[in-house]
Amino acid sequence: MADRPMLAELLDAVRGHLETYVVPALKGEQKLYFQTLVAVNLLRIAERELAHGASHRRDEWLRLNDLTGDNQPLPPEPADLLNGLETRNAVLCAAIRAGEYDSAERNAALLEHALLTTTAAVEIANPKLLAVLITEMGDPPT
Amino acid sequence: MTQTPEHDLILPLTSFLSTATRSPVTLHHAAPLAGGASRDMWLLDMEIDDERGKFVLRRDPPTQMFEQALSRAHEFAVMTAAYQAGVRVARPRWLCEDPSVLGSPFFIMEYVEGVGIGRKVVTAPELAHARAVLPEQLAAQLAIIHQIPPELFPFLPRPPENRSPAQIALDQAYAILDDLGVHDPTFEFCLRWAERHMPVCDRMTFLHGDYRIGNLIINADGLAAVADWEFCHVGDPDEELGYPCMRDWRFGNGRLRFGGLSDRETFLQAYERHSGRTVSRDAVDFWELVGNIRWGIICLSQANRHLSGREPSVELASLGRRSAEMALESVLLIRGFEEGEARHG
Repeated sequence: MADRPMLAELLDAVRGHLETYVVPALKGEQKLYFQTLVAVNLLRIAERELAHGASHRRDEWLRLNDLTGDNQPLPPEPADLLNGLETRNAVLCAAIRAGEYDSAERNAALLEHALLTTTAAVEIANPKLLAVLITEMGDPPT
Repeated sequence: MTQTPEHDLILPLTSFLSTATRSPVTLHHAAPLAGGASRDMWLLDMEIDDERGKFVLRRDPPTQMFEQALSRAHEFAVMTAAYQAGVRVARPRWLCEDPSVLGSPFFIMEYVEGVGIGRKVVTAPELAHARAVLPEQLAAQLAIIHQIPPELFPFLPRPPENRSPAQIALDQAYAILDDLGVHDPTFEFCLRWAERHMPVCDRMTFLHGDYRIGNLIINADGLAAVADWEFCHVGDPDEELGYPCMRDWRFGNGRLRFGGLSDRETFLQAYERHSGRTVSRDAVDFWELVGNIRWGIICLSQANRHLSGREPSVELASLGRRSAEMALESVLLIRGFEEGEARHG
């Protein structure tokens, strides 16, 4: 039987407490008020990461398989997946820097991969900005 | 009774100014400006020889946050040159390089009334007229700034003989990534793309280095003063045309590419008229892109100050997650540039 509150609920409890009771009480302390708003935002990011991070990392692994042509099985343990991604990304970065993704075809595939990876990251870090960027697609600012 | 920081300033400052002006000086009030742990900016309300006025004191912080930032003495020198060239800038008045007066070198400039906060500049209803005239004004002022002879200031950072400003900008970005041990395929992709699309710089000029909404004091009539001259350097003037177009410097008015104020052409065409120089739009695209890449990478560097334990701070930590915003913006810019190329050949 799972411990309640669960991890997501713990984060939510702390965030709710800070936002509802602490932030309003700091109105007279400009610096601390601003810093606590930032802290609240970090907790929101943590909550979204908890909800979506694992599936983003799995997607990233599978996309790397397609991009590099190197089909590696998905590590089942989260820590191994994280370490594995770091290793594969280091290899990919070296390859990009060496010009191995300069051809039109490979560059387009890399752009697509980068787009999906960063979109997932911004979905967690700042979903409001993502919404704005999506509405601008097809009609970018001039 | 413990002394407040304000008290620490009053006596030595009054003494320094009395000597510097050879007049009676009364410092009525000193208040810290702009917050920040280093407390290196103060608003002074003082009387010099019966004339009362407001001034701003800028002091060297105890630790240098950015290696490329100018010292107070150098900042004083470039601001003075800008003032004499006709740029709207707070008039620099007194420089003190003696660290024994206030703990570190400082200078004092006249206070300029106005709004500096980016979000307020782009949204405040009372600044609607200012916003309408700002693109033209900012273009005109930039044209003057770019005419300041860089040879006057040998201390300004400049690219070495055999490296273009574009190449140096990318070198620096790669160096930060490598220093941090970061392996980010998105930044690698963007830097590689930038490297393959570097513009030619016909002539390097003096650059302000951080010319954007947020560093400009605005009043109801428009530009009141260009502030924050600590990142002046010598480089490609097109860098300074792309930089203020970065999304972050639109402060929420994303659709208005130039500083959240207007489209880009309004600004660029005004700059071309005032400078007499034809500007390559591709070059401006490049520098807007590089601005985003650099800012995204600097965010990682700032987060590292927290992660390394050097400076625990939720603000620094949060910048680590902001980095992805600039990375995404950079990829979208590149996609737009590629699609533009495909359409027009």
